[in-house]
Amino acid sequence: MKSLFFKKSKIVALIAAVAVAATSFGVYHSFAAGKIDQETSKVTINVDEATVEDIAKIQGTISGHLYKIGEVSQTGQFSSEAIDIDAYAKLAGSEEAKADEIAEFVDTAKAYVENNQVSGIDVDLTDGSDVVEVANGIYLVMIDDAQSETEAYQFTSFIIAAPQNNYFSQDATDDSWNYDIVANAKVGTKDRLGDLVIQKDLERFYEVLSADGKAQPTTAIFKIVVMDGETKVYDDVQAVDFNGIGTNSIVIENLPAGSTYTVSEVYAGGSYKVDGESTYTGTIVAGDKIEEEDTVISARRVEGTSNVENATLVEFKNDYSGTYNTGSISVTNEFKLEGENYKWTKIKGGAN
Amino acid sequence: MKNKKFLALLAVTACLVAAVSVKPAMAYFTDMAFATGAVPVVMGNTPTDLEEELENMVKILTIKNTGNHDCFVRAIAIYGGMCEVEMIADKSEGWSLGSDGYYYYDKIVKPGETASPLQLKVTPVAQADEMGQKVAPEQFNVIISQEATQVHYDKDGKPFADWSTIYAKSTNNLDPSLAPEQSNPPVAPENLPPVPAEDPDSNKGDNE
Repeated sequence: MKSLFFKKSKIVALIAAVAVAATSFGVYHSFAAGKIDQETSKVTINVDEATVEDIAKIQGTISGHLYKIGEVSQTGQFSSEAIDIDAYAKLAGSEEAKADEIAEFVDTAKAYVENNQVSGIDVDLTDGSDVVEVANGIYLVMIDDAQSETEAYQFTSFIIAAPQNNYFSQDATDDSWNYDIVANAKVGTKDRLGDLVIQKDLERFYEVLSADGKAQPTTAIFKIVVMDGETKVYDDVQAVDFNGIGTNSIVIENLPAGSTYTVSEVYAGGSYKVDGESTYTGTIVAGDKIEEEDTVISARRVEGTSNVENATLVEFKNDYSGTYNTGSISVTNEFKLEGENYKWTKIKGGAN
Repeated sequence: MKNKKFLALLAVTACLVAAVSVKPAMAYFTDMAFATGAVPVVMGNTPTDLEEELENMVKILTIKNTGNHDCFVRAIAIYGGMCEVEMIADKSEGWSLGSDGYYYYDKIVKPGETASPLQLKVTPVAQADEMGQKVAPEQFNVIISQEATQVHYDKDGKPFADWSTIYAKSTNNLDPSLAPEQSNPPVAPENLPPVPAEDPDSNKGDNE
């Protein structure tokens, strides 16, 4: 995520995630002397705990599916209509296997499963692991996306062979077949995001006429600080203008869910006062968005009430204070870093 | 409803006339009235205009009195933790920083006149990223708010600015009984910066 301060990313690189595919596929040609003497293998799928901060926080169930995309003969010859098994085996057996190259084979396998409506074997990984007995062959393993209150989890699909030969996977001197396969499912973690809506109600409007007879608007200014743990992700001021009584809003978009906000109305206008609390704190609730590489925390003004769904709402009320400080004007100066210099733009706002 | 508004107008006007009869400078308040919503509407106010320029991260503020009455002006810079703002004192003649964070201009600004420029240095504050490294903030706001208030005079005829005078009690209802609480002329608060005696030429110079 790109915050207003710096580029921030919790996206876990998928390179590590595909490593499981290379090791679990094993060998496609049998160098073993013995034949495959069982028709089934036991496959254990584990959620790699190293890539999940706290699996207990994941909401709902974690469902996985094994789709058979290839066969293996009793002599250990693997074959598949879904992927080029020779090419894949060569790649998977290489120590220099690249994530994107592995992913291409996985995508091809996914397309095969979808186009041929291949039935899956379900596993339940809610507790972190599940074991299933499968007919020998080549399988595409897919695990549904999951989420906690603050994180979105995207598991990396992978291809495994069952059984596997120990010749390459364990000991070169042992060419027996392994019918007890264990695969660790890697997961990429992204922040779930939420929006903060600061809604302002002006109950009475003190009309000040400028020299041309037009009523001048008034401005309220808010200071917003958002902390994601110990990291400050937002610390800025925003203004909202009024041309009369009513409601206007500010929307701070793409804040990390679970982060803590503090919103204070630090300026109510020259002739206005806050009617009620002037500071609110709370927790950003997740909306429908998740973090992407180009995600930016941004702010925008909205006339009236905001229509943002699943947003965290903070409401302020202002009223005329009875004071007579007329003719006040506010200008919002936006500084944006471009290269090594700041570009400056200004928004002329309210008066009185 | 019209009768109520009319009564309110009478009440306000009567009180204000009583107050301003002592000091001519208060005369324009006799035009105060209540509009729908029980909010005073003031004819003959002191609107001002604010212009800003930026040179090498220095904001240069000029405030012009576009109204038809003398006024005092003050300004405040409001910003978050990604920058700091500081007045360049030797380039901001007549301006001083008050204990409330406002910058006060110590001269009366007459109609059509402009206060001396207020120069504010804006300095971005590097922030620690996730790796603990200090990086320049990519974006931040500095909001400048400027206020004007009309000139008052004490018993000796000395002008002063009163930024806290309440002329009508604020309520949430459309109450026609709303009337100015203040029955006495405003008294100069002790914590306000001193204001020199009115001098017609005091604000003329480089800024016009």
